[in-house]
Amino acid sequence: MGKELNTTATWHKLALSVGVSLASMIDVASDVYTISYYHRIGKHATANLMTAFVLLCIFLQMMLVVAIHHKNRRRMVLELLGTITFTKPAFNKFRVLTNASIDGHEVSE
Amino acid sequence: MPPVNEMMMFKLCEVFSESIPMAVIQLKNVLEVGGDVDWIVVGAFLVSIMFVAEAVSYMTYMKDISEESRSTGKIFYGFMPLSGHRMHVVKISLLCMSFSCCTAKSLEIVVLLQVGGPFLAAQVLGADLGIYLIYKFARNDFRYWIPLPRGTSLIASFALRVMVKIVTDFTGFLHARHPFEMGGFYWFINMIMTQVGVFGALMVKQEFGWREGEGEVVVLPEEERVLKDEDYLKLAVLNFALWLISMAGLYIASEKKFNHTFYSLVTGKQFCRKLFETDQAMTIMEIFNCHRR
Repeated sequence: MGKELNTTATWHKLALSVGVSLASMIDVASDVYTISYYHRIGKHATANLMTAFVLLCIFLQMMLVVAIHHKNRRRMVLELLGTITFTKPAFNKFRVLTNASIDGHEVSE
Repeated sequence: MPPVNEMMMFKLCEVFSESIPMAVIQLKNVLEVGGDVDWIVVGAFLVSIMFVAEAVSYMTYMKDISEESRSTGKIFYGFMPLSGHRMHVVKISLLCMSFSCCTAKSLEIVVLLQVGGPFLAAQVLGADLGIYLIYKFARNDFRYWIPLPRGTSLIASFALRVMVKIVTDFTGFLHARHPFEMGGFYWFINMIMTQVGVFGALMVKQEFGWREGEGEVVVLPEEERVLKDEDYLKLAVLNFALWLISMAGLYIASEKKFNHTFYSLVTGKQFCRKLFETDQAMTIMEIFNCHRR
């Protein structure tokens, strides 16, 4: 019964997963606002530095996705899409909450 | 790769390359802001720190309670109570500890930037990192557990050790106390050094004051800034109190038989041997399949 509880997909788990994506989007939105604020007040170097870190983060996450899923091209493209739309955290969390089984194409631990 | 590991790596990437640098940059700007405060920017800074704290504490929580961790790593995983008040105390303590570490380290870096610019901050961070790497070498514990060819393994070990050290400096990442990462003893010392570092940086600032502005760096006179120099000390003391309370909460409410993991001196190799000696078929299989020989 415990195992079933751990693996069942429920609305609560879905809501939690969507919440994670929303939090990620709010974080990015607040970063974008801050960057535009620093451009507005003339602190261009600070704004550019912040932009560089946001882009670096997206780049590293995409590299990570490629490294993990390169053996399944379709899955890799879907995961990359999730990364650039900031929805991947929701999929990640949902898989963790439902103890999703491993496909086998991923690089091992 | 289990979903929990993929999620952890994804979040670590985000915390390392975006949330931490953003927190430092934003704290610097918030501390140096004049009378015209944009509260959305202040809110964005708090969102960044909260995001770091939530991400790191959630990663630790999920890794500790996952079925796979508790079945194959039962001599380390299990500090988190699975129900009742103690579970909530541990969760809140984890959040507060990460929040406090992120604030402390960011404040330390910002103060060092104010006193000596990027060079001084890089020197201090570099020295801290250097001591950690020497410690790992000295204990013959530098190479990471992932099975890779020797050259790749050394490069990957260096990159991963640096990444985990920086993330732990800024977040108190509790999973880093695992013998495969920093180890309990160094993790604990690192926590103390993070808090001590803030007061050290404030003392340096008191001695040498602000550096001269260069290029775009324009420092407002103290009377025009919202937060005065003496407020930094109040912020550091409040933050230290939060850290102490969260550490106490963590120690008291977590499962007693895992308390030793917070200060254990066991290295990665010794831990692997201990796992092997548990005589569980699944664990032994994992050691052979997933670990460096």
